[in-house]
Amino acid sequence: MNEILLSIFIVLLQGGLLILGAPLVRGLIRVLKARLQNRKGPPLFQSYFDLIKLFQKESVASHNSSFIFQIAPWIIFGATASSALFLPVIFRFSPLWFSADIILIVYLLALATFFMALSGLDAGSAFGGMGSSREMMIYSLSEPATILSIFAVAYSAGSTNIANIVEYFFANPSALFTVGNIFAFLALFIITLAENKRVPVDNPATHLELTMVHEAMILEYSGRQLALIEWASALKLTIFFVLLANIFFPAGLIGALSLGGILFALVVFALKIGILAAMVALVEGSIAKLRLFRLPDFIMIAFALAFIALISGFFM
Amino acid sequence: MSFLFITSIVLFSLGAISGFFFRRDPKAAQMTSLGFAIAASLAGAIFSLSALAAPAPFEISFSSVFSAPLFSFFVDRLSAFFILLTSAAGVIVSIFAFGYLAHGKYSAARTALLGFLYNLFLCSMILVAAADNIITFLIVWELMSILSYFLVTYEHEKSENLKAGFLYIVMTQVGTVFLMTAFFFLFRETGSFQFSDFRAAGALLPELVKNIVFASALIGFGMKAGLVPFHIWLPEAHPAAPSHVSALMSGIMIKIAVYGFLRFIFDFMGGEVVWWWGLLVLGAGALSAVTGVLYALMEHDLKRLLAYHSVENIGIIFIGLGSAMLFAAFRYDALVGLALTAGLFHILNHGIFKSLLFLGAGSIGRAIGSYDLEKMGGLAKKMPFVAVFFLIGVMSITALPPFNGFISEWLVFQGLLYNLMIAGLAVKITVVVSIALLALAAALALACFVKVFAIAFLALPRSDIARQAKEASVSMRVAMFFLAFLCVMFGVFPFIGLSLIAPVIDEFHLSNSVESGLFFIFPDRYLSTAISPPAVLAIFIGLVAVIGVAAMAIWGRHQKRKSPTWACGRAIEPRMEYTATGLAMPFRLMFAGIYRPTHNIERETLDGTGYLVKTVRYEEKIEPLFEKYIYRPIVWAVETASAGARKIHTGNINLYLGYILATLVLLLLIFV
Repeated sequence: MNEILLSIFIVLLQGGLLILGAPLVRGLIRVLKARLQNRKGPPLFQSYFDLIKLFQKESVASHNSSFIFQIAPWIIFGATASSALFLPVIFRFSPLWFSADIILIVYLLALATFFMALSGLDAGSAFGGMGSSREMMIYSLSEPATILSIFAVAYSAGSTNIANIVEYFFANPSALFTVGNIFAFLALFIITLAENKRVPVDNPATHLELTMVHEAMILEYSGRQLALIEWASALKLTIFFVLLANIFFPAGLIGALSLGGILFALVVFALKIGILAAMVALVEGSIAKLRLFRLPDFIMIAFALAFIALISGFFM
Repeated sequence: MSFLFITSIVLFSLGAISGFFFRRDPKAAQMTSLGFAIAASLAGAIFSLSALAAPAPFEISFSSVFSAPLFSFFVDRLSAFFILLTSAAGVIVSIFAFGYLAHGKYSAARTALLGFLYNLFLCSMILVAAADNIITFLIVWELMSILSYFLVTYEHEKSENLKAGFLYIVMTQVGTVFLMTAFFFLFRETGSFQFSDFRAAGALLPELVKNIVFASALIGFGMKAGLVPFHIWLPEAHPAAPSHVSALMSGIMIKIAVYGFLRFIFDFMGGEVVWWWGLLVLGAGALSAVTGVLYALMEHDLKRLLAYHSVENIGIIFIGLGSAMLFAAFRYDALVGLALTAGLFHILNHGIFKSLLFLGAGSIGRAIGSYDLEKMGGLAKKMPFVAVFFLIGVMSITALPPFNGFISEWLVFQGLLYNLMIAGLAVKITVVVSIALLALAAALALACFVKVFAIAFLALPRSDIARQAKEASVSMRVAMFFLAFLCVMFGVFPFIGLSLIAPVIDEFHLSNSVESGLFFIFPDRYLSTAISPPAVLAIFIGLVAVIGVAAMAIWGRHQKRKSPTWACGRAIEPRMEYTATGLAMPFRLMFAGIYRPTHNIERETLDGTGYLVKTVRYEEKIEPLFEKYIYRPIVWAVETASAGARKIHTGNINLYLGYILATLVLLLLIFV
């Protein structure tokens, strides 16, 4: 009985931390980016204010839209939030390890992408179509790179179970700093930028431009539905950060439950996420958005890195 | 038990001829032939289930039934699995056909003919899976091919159907030649026509013969299965048949070819696999997966698009089989079962969701009279049931959780991961490339089905015919409901589907490493990877419920309002919508090296001025790569050779007598 309660506590702690903390990550990137550009930027908690405001507003749907438009925000949020529950955040494991491995997590995120793209086309406006078409193009380019970089770490650990992977790298720190692992990290970092529509793939600060991708798809959404989608996209970015931080740098993750340990792990986790946020802000502050048809070149870098990462594992 | 098998065949035969007794009443002809098809399929399904469930491999020989000793049948679990697939699809597709064919366009004779072909086609597929010697196999195999040819050309008023049928029959006959080669060598080595004598002949065959048998079987069955580069007939022929038959062809018939391949590799060869066979099958599978989906993306005819996706999914199935063959070749006995289970489960799942999608396409075709995506749109409102079932089919084929396609693709990925453990760089690199291609195919399939579902079902109707669409009839909806239900059940509780496969794996004396229970599925009990689809689904529903309720408690009910789409101040019109062509545009540019697209824009301007555009016509074409670089040269060579041979055919009878004499003299000189 105690063990079950403990497991529930760990799941709620890790999952709650990610789901509730995700908007903060977004806010942090925005603040850091503003500082890099010599601006003051919005308050750190602006994303929360936005979400709270949106949750109170009514949702407007197009006459042309179907049931897809109504269910999509819930599916997008549900799929993204459930994949957050299977990740090791401050512990080296998740009590739900048996229910999802890293491939299932990737496919849960694909489920969200699928409904996002459908909802973009549901209202019949050309903007949504543009967004969906580009989203699917970027997705299908980055997916092979995602799978290959996942397989690179899964090959080392001999399992696609994420807790096993983290445990393996925690036990063998020397396996972390191989060429393969560094390349896999870089590949996954580029994928993080691409999948979350950050610069240079898409500009998250833009609205109503012909070049936008993510914003174009969610253009028709408003109120509570928009809040769910925005929350889910902040969460998706955080999930990628957790994968980057905890697979490739498992130091600081704890294996047993203790108050001091949790506090320590939380601090380390915050630090790792802070560094990743700073990296994204630095990229966004220093390079410009690429033209749409330059994107294949950019994402192919990730693919090539992931490919080499997996191949180089065979020579270790 | 053999009683049920014979009952099934007798019922199919009765169904085949029953239609002809109703010379004036097409409705009655159709009802009786479909009724018999359902009854026969039910008998077949019960028979195959009992054959699967039998504790020991369940063998029945029917040689005594047929007086000629040349015909004999044998049903083991592998056969039973495919008979089950065929007969289950037979039941559901026949239910669909009641509504689908109720348009009364065809005369009684024509309806009876369709019933005849349809019943015998189903029966022939079951017989192929049950055939137990070379003669029987080749006869029923040819029967299946010819019946499906007549079904492809059933609507023979359309000249493109005749063309598709011709391409199909030529390809399939060439495939049979390769099968005969494979059988010939087996016969030569064993001196027997009986399959039972081929069992485990793999260990005894000389290396060269083994390789020839393998290559011939791969080409012969690959041709029927639509494996790249032998796939070119498939996207032409499958869509030409009536939709319920397309569902059977794409969902089941190509799997019967996979059955033949499995029979050769894991039964006749006894898993004595040479390592490069596995690589070849894996590579061909990966190539098929990507090629199929790439061409599907550019296709805007719904049925042709689905046919291209059959090429893709056959590719995924062959990736699973190739992975299993690699394990077998390198003696990773514990893992052969995993990869083979993945392949077989994908066969089962593809049979379900591809049938569902083709039936959905048939419903749309019946409602609007066209399969052109650009003429659809807004159907989610006109046909809500079809929309939901089609969506489930789409999410299954794109391997999204919690549907069945995900589970089998996940198992294929697990097999590939452990393939990487095999020593040998050639193997490893092929596997890595296959993983990348499979991931690419999966991602492109998602993009393609975003196109299909969004353009067909969402937003505004793009044509008048789509505006007047009506919901599908009850029997069509019932059939689609069954298939959609299976997609969900096999996705959430995969152990149901896997329990049908476990007996087959046992039969091959492979350790059944995939362990599945009510809640979990492990690819291998020694590896601590697992997924639990029901738990994920419960977590998903729980989270959505918690957030929904919490938001309602804190901020009140979700207020909703409807309003027109903002189109920069104008009323939105269908022609402002994104089209299927537009949606696929980035892919056309990205893969321009493969597609080699050409386009043509015609502008008509107002008289006298060069600027005021009246109409714009946009036309695009992609270059069929395989046709141009593989088949054109072959056709050219055949035509040139026959043109050369024609020169000696003058029509003069004396000259022909001279040829005969010359041949005779020549033969006497050589052999005497």
